[in-house]
Amino acid sequence: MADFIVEAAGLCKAYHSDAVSTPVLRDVALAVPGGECLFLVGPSGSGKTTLLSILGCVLSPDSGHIEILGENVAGFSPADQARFRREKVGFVFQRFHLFDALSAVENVQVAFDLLKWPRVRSRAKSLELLALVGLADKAASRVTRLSMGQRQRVALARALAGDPALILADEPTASLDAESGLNAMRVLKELCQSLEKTVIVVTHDSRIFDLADRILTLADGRIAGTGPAAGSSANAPSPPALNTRLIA
Amino acid sequence: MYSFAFKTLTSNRGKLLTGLAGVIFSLVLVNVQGGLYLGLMRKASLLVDHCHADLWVAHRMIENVDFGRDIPEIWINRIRGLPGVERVEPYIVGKGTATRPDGGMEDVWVVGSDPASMLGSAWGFVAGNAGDLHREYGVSFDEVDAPKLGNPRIGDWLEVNGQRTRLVARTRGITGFVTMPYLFTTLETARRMAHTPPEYCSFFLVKAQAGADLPRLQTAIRDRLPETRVQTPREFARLSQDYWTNRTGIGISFGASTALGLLVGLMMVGQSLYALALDHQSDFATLKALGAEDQHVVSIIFLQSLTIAASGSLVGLAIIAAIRRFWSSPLAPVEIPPELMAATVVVIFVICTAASLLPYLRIRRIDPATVLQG
Repeated sequence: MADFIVEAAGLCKAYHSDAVSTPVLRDVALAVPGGECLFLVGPSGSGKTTLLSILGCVLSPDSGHIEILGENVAGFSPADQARFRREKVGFVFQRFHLFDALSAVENVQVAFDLLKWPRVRSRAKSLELLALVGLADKAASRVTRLSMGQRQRVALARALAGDPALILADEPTASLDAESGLNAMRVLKELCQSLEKTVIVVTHDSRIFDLADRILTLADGRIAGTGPAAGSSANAPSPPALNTRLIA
Repeated sequence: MYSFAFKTLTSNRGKLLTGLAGVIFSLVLVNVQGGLYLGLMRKASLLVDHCHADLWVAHRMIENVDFGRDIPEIWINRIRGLPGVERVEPYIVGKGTATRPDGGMEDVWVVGSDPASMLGSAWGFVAGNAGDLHREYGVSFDEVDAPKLGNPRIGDWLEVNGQRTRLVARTRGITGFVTMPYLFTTLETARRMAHTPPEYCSFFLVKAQAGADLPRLQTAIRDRLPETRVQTPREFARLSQDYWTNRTGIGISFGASTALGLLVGLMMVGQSLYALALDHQSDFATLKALGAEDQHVVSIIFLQSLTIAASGSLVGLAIIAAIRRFWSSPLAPVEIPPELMAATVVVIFVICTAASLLPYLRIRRIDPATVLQG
């Protein structure tokens, strides 16, 4: 157990509207070792985002067991979930979800504010993180004045604030052009590797598949396949084809 | 969190200005209304507030300092012998009708003091002085009342109740609640002008000896003169003010408009904070996804409401100071004591805190999962 950052078994989740219950995850099991870069792939509606939300303690599973960083998060109260997200998880959202009214450094500082870091220390650390993602010269710029690629890097710096062990990225290249997307993903991968973070990425973008240590494919709420990533992004198969190859 | 709270607030100037306008409107309205009310009340007890008597003895049915009722002057002897009394003087507040040189009429108050001390007489002289009132038929008038009296000059004659009086002094700032001109003079001239019977006066003004036990003296006078009402200046001022407050409904009127001002302010601040929260729902969802709890959300909204309250109060207080400086006049005095300003600022902060409840309830319902669902 200690070798795995995430260990889950029998995870089920359904969404309810009126009298209709729609299962989204069915008996999902996974184990993610520390330092791994895991990609969750699969068609729309396959349950990737729901699984990511459960891994990020934004949602609770209806049933099943899930332990993250040694904590049984399935039974967490909303307050416990919030505390866990603050302290243990870094998020990179699909549309970045930066705070438009704030500068790049202030966006990063918000994460430290939630952790109640002293202001001077949090500012210094935020500047350090922005330098790490190559945005030292843009620290004072309002994020609305940055390019999409730069915003993505601010989001990455914010995700690293507080030194979380687990980084979750939801479609991190979806709002970027091909080159920017690949660059952003490389930065994410390299940084997390050097900082020994565990990264779980939800993506549709087959061009970045070769950056994964392992790819887990979801279909209809189940794990349809898992295995090491392909050697080259140019040869990366589409998720269904990949599934077949991985399963085989 | 302050950076987030403050910059989110200032990034939307329209809503910030609406919130500020609410605070400024409430603060200014409440203070100006309160200041006008206090100014009017001060006018209602003007004679009492500027008289240096320690006790006022009046007819037991007295309701107001301006509406003095005659009491036998001979009763004064029952007070003179009491221990603790330094001196006691008759005082007249009566009504008269002045005839202007153009033939017009004007009702006036006639106030007469003991010529030896001139206790309770005029103040704020801008022409002539208290000594001039000793001249035969000499009276003072206030400059604000000059148009009502036909714009007289010092030395002019004025007829009051058919008696000739001479305007020997002019004052500034002596305007009563009912805006009838006050004419100050000596006791005998006042008695003649107001047709007060020779052996009567309106009040006895008591000066106590230094260190005298005033409540005991008050009780002793009551015992000696059960037909009278014996009051400290504070009590008598309050009685006079209550008379106008209760008889005219002015208290309800000012109170209602003050409450309305606070309500409008509350709604404007609440509405702007709520609209701001709606505009930034996505930001709050992100904050929650990053691990913000209710306490963080509360602190953000609280900081925003405090920022509106503090900055609005600063602007509002500056406007109030300007109004007090440039708008206040003897006819419409705006008396805003620091206590009123401090109290309204506290009320404003309470209102802003209450107004932040609505956006909090809205933001509390935001699900952080929405951030991950596109």
